[in-house]
Amino acid sequence: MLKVGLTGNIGSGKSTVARIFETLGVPVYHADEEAKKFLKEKKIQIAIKKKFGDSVFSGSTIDRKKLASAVFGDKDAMAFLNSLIHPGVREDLKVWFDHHVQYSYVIQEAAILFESGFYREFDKIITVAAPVELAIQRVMHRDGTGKEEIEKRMHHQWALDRKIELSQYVIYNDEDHLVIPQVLAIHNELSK
Amino acid sequence: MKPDHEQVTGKPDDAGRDKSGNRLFVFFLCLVISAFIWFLILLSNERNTIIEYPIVFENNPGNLVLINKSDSLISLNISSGSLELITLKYLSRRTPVKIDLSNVKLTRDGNLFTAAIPTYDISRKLISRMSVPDDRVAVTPEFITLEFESISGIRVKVIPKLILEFDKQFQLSKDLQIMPDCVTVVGPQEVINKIEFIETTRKEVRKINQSQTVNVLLSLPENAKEVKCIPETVNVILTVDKFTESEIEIPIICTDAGTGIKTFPEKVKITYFVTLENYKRIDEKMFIANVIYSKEQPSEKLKVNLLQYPSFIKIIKIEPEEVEYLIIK
Repeated sequence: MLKVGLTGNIGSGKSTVARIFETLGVPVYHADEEAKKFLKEKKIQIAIKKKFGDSVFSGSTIDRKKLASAVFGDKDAMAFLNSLIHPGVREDLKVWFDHHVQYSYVIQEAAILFESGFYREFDKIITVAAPVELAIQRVMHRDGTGKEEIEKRMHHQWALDRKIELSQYVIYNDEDHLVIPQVLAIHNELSK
Repeated sequence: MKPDHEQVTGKPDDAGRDKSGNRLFVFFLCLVISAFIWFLILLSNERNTIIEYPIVFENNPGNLVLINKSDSLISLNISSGSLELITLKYLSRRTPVKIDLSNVKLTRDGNLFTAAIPTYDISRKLISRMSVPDDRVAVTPEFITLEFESISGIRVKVIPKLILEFDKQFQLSKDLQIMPDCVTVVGPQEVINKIEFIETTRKEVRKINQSQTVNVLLSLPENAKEVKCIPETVNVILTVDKFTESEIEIPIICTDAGTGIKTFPEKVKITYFVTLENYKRIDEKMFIANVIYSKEQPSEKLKVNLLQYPSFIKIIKIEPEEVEYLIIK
């Protein structure tokens, strides 16, 4: 079983590509979604409250937007948060891999696969690429986030060229290329 | 020899100067008198001129409309002294000749009615106003030929030509209502048969921020002057409301039951305008968006159609307009 990482910058359309793979019957682990589940764990909530205080909470639950703002641009805070979440996610992923050994390949979708250094754990990497302006427009429409805020978040991600260099496959999700044929080509190759 | 005064002083003497001045005056006086006499002789000569009187037709025969007139002027070719002619042509008032058509004798030919009106009586009246003998005037034409057609009427739709400019957030909450939305067009059959609709005149309404009624004149088609609209104006009712922009995501369905189609994305985002009072009424169930897959003509992308949406909203955009798809076997 091949372990395939699926990543791409913000607004590139990773989730859409992941859904196409899922439709083709490929198991997909959504790391970001799974990580959110860990924020509900009591011991993690206590650690976060100790570090960031009540300001990142809405009532008894962690407000992800407030938490994201608190760690944004603060390397130490980000490292602290990752140290809380990532071990749990990795452990969960390991179990998930074990459950899917019968498949020729499985995919993990993650936004910061390269930035976290987790990409080394995978046999193949697929990067979803989209022009910056198009990606900004998508996020603005999707989340209602301002352009400046998106650009700041993009600034903290690796440059697309660097990601493409370290990837075995690139899916161009722009206005000029059809996505599904690109996904099918990769799927056919990985299914051999 | 004794030198004269000019040789002595270098100037002509006063007596000589007066004499030559008198001679010049007499010469010019004679010239003016002879020119005047020549002019009078010239005016007394007999000459010809044409004086034209415009014709105005009044009181069309009942239910008939004038579709063709051979002449719109009566010309009097007058032979008379120049002085009289100048007076007649340039100094006398020429009022249009009114011809009453209410009792005109008509000859029918199918839908067409013709009348030939002799100009003899009219010209006699005109000549009587002048101090010119009858035999010195030739009148053209001798007959005025007119063609009439029965008036017909049809009901046609009114198309408003309004340029509307709304204040920010204001929009029409209902389609434009035209009162009446159909008008009767009356005129020659041949002309009105070509009229399918009547447009209003162009009217600009700016800074619209409330409902209002606009009265607009109907605009007759070019080359249809004989045509009348009843009524001549219509009221256009603008029902205006304050709108807000909103969005909703709805799933895309494939109506072709025989094929399992999965679209990417699976949902489509609808951006729309809605009045503030209807804002809370919007529900996802009010919308249906679909794609149609054709086995015969498969395409790379499928167009998203918005099959159903609430009548009280205005669609601004559908994103994406086309989606990629997989056929699930």
